[in-house]
Amino acid sequence: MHGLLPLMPNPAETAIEALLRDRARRGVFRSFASRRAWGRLDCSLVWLREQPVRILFDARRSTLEFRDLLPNLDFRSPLYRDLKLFLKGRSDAGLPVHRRLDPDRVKVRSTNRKGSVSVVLESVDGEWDYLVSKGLKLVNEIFLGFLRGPYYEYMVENFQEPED
Amino acid sequence: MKKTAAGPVSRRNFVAKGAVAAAVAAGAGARASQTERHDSNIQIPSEVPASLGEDSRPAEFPMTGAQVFAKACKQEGLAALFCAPGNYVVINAIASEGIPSYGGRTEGMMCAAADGFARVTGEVVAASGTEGPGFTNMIMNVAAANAARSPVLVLASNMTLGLEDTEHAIQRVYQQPTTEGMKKYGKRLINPERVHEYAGYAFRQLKSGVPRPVHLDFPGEVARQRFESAEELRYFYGKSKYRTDSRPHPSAKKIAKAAAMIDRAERPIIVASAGVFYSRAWDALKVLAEQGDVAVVESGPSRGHFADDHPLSANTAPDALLSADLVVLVGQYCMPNIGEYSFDPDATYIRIDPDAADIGRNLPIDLGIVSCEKAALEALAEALPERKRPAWRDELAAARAAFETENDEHYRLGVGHSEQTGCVHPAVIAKGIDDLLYQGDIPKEQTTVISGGYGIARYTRRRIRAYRPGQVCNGAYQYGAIGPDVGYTVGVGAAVQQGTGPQAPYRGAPVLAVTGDAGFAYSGMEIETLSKYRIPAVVVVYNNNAWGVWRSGESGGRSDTARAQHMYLFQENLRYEKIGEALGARGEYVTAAADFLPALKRSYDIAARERISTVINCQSIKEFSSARDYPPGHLQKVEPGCMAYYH
Repeated sequence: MHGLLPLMPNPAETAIEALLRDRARRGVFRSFASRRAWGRLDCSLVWLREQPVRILFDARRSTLEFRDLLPNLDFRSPLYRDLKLFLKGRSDAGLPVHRRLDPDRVKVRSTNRKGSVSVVLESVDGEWDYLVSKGLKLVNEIFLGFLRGPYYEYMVENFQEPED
Repeated sequence: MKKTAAGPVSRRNFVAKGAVAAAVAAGAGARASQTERHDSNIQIPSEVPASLGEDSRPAEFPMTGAQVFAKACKQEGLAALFCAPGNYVVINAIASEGIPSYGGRTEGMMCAAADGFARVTGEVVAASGTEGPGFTNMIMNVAAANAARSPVLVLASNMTLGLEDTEHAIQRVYQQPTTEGMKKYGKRLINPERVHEYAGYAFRQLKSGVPRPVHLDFPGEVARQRFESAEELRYFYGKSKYRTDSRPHPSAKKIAKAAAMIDRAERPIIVASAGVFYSRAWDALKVLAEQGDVAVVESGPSRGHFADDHPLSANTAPDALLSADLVVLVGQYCMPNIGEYSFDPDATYIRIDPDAADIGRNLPIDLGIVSCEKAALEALAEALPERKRPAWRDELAAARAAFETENDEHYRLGVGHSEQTGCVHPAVIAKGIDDLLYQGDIPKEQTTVISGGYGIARYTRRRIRAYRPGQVCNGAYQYGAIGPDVGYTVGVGAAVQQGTGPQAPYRGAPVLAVTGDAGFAYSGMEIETLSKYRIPAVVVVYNNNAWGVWRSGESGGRSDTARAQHMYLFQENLRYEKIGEALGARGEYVTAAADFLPALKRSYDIAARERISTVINCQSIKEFSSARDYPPGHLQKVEPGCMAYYH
């Protein structure tokens, strides 16, 4: 029976997929596709700057990962340093509740694999709605807030920011 | 000095001839110049004030086709005509009817002037050029007006129908396909007897729904046809017979639903765009916002329909946009796509627009309301329960304060960079404009600003404020043309001199324009038009010796480019202010940060007192756009709000 497990939807995966698919239905994403592979829910969609976004959900670890979100970001670069500070600051107690990541409910971190940066949120309380909502808000804010800072060159080179 | 029957005419006594000056520009407070330039003999020919001072001569039957059309324009309240000579019988007929008319140096920039005039008045305005080259010169600015949804009537002559395709004589072109995709309606007039009918076609389009340019071309057979009486015209009705002023009103059911959605929201925001301005809905907008403590942020080709200093304004509160949980897009004719406006992915959307066919384009909606913007805002204010949202107000205030802190930090860095290099940093220019226009003795509502340029605009947009409708003309809006800035200045300046529409209380005040050295090259000759008509303007030119996109060609830069950089650079330290002087304006050359504000004050004072324009050439360096060497470098923007110009 163990060999059939990957084919049986995990309730958490089903919930996460439904939450993401609902956004696609509402038009937040341009397209949406999902599959289950390697024990994870693997979703592909087009969002924000018309770029493909890959979201992985690992039910065993309760993590929602925005895989390879930012390319060509050296581990020692000021931008990556600023990004880590930005992510840390999202749990600041001074932020309004609707903008804050409650550290008792979700933890956030970034990973950098050969310059390709992923953002990972880990649910503490198993509230999948909160995890998905906060994950999307965070990525949205990375692109529409954080990256609007002094990173024009990076945006031109990596996200085709118009030069005019 | 040229002698005329009326005596010598200089720029000085042109203004002193009160009646004439009033006809030219009706400049409040105009008086004789206290200063006279001794280093040139530039003169305004006596015929200029003389012809401007003539009484209008409305045509009566018998009339030409051009006169029939011009009379229809007058009856429709066409607010102004901007042209370069050509299409002679039509422009002469329009001027004779008493419609304020301006002749400039290129058809393209006169079309931009018309666009600028429309953007700050909301009125229908015409641009005209000659057949062929004059018409094609207008194209960039017809497209810009189309992107901005400006009600510009584009007129051009078109030789004769009888000799089409023959290349007889010169300047033959088939115009209408050229404006395809950049107009709301277009027609080559081919039947002289229907000329009045087609005026009706034009104004029906220009005065209803979402405005955009209308293009009519006039072959000689139509413009010159002589009509002895109205009976010879196939249609000759008054405007009440060929169009209606009624506007679509919203369904009560949809309004109730929208009011319930707004009431339920914690942090609702209205995006007030072009349609709010064109439907003159600013009072209704304010009532609605205050009724429900709904935040308001502006977008569009002009700003000021919701004052920046209102506690519910998010125009200078970019960080708060991401907190909104309900977005009401009102008259957002140029629609952003997902990810272009800085809103929460889970925000819900209501869109109010007179064009049902556009609702749902680009950005999915939760509720669409087909309506005139003003009617919908009034109905919503009636239906919405009063509600206070103090936390939302506090968040807006905190975001505005954070934005100003960021601006101050840019200025602090800019002063340092200026001292280090001996050049003027753009943050210093932005701060100087802020200090003069909004922090000093000048009433902050007074000065209408043409907010143009490219790299400089990323700094100045953050400091240019709007406190009343039509106070800011958003130069590069959507089409992204950086060149027409001085053309826009002619139109905006003319609107203020005439006191048209929302500019009425500020009639005669100087206008201020911001542009760059690249942009100035396209339209700088129109300084002559400003000077000829004594339209007082202060034109700030940010001179960084290069196209703003110079780093695209940097050797060894982004794409390991070689042999390309020269294409992006100009000669350094060019003296644009001398172009101003050579064209009848003043010039100021500013090379140190501390000199900018005094030069700006001096120029503004002279513009206000003597109606003489000034070009202030601010010497800078292209390297200021580097975030690594001169932080913060080229600034990015957040839309909607004061920084917006894409949508």
